[in-house]
Amino acid sequence: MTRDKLGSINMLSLFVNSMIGIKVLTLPRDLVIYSGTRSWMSLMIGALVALFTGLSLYWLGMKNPGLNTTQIVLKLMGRPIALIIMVVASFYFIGTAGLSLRIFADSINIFLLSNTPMSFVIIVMMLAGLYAVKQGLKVISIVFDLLLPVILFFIILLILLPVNNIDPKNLLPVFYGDIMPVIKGGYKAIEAFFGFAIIGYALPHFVEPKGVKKWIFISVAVCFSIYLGILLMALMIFGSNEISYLIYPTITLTKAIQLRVQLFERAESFFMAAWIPNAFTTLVIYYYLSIINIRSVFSKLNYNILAYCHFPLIFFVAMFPRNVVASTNYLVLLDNYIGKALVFFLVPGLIVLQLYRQRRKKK
Amino acid sequence: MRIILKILSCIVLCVILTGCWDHVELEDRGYVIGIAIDKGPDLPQGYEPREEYLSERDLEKMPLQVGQPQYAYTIQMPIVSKAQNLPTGTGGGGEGDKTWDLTILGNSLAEVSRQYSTRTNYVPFYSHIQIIAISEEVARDGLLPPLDTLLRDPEMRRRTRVFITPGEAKKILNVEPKIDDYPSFYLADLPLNSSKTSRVLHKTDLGEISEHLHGNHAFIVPRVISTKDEVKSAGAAVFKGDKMIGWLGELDTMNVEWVKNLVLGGMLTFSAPGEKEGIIALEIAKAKTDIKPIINGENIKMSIKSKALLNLEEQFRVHGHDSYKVTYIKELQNMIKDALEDRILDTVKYVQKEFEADIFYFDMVLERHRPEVWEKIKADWDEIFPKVEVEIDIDVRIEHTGTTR
Repeated sequence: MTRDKLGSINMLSLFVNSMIGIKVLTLPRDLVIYSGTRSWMSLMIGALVALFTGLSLYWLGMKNPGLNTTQIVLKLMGRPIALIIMVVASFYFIGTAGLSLRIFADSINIFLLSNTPMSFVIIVMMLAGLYAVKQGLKVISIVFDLLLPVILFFIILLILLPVNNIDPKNLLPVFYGDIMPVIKGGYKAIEAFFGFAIIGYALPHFVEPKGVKKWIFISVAVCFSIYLGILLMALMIFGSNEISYLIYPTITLTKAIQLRVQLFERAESFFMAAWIPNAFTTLVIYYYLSIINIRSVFSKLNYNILAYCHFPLIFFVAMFPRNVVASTNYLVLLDNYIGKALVFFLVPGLIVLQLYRQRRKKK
Repeated sequence: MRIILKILSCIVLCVILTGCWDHVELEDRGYVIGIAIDKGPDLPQGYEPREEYLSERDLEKMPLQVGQPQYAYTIQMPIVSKAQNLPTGTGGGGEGDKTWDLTILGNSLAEVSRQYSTRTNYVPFYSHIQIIAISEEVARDGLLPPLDTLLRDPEMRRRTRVFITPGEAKKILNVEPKIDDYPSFYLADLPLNSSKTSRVLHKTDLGEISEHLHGNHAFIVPRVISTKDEVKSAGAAVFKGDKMIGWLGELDTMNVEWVKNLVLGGMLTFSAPGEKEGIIALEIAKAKTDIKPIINGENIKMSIKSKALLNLEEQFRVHGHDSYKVTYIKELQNMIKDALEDRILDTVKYVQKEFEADIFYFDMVLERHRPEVWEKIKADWDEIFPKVEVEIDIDVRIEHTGTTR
């Protein structure tokens, strides 16, 4: 769509909002079970990999102006492979959108609206998502620009509020133990940054793609700091052992807030103020990515019709898992097998092919 | 077509935006402000069964789906219209009970908490719970069984204060406070006084207990005792695993807090140097403690380093000493240093000998500072702890001496 032209600064909200997703709920536990008090190092590894992959996608986009990642696959690898990649990627995008929605609805159900049927929460959220997606990337980006300050404000508030309860000694020992658990944790931490896929698909929409590079750095830094804040706060308040017992450490963190005065007894409501728009942005971005991804191979398909077709699919995925444990497990499977395969095989593969092509051209 | 769609979406929006599926009117909620957990069957009620009515005891019985009842759970709900401190100033309360205390016998708190609904039309709501009082008998049998649902249920908050009482826990909820309306709020505020006296243990809430239980540390929980209209929170109950193993007196609690770097304030008294009758009282302005392990081969030694900033508050029956003299202040400081070190070492040794429970978290100190040593001795820590050597060094400084010499 030609009207979807973005300024470089739009990258920030697009990128940050798509990265901070469902993982924010479980991140402390996900990392702590691998690397304990050193989980911040794991997070750093995850952020570095994210930055590197983001920059690779950016580089590929710059070498193939006007094309998104799937179109680059089409150009470099040919139609049959592109078709496979397209199906796999869309499977991943739809799966993540649906399961994130489900985990969101679960947490809303547990902590806030215990009598509201889950399907109702999901449908309302999806209707709003569909409406945003139908308007195209420009509108999505504007909505994200509006939501980002709200989300950041509440998350930062929640990182700062429990500060009177911290015990910095919980971070000790800092450097003891093998390096392997840290790397394993880092491998896990990459999942928290998977939203960087948006770079590959949003890049063609920018008026000045060159300016985007700076914002990639800034966005990863913002994201990393927020995750780090939550992780360190959880570590300093609960200690690494206790975190491994908590299903949603971040929500429990918000429930650990206690001020001396009888105020904010249920501070987790604040978290919901950040969490609901956050779940919305995650849904919208993956919804949009899947549509764009399919249209890159089948360019004749109508955007709106595709958007409608995705609706029942995502709803089905969201309603599919039988319980909380199952939905988390499916998401882990998706991230572990498809997400990481795309990051560790597809992206390097594309880079190699691109370099090969350039060499041949020179000769 | 468009118009129909527009009207349809208006209707849908009206339905979605105006209603909340989960709304409960504020006045229909039964806010639980305190829970008391006692041992079950032979609970004296103080009510004589009357023939023409069902007795209170009968209400408290509940046919269980599994097993025999072992615990008596009591919840307390405020009767807001009887309160004296009404927020709008509509004036003072009424006669009779200000709270509604419901006791039910059972095992699983989750099961019991639904059984309350057979007796109250207000649905119990646990998010604003202030205190959990647990009787010694229950604590000695283990905390984990009655607390599991409190840790699992998303309605609960982790900052709820937990107290252990030597007698019956229900009595705590029956206290009629002089100024406040509800005993739960009254008791929940007491630990905030720990800046005035460190005999009150202030840092043990549900979340911390959960951390200690999961981390397999020994820990202490504040003790509370009550009369008809007063409660007193001082001293502590010592736990090893999830079972209570003994009581720690007020003075020992203070010393334990000193080792654990929990002192926020309080009073220290010493006999005056060279005067038999004289007492010197000092206020703790600041106290900071740091523990480092010293490992020498097999020998494990804990080095407690502490800095204390004190203010002279009173010289009771002290004659012939001029507190405005540097030499006297120095003499005092040295005297206090020795006396305080002795007191704290005494408590540490007492705990090592009497309880063999590591309530000072020496295990965590080792794990944090010498993880490689900790890995080796982790399994035998219970045997090692009583033999751990402790050295203490307190840097005492007297800052203010008051307004008279």
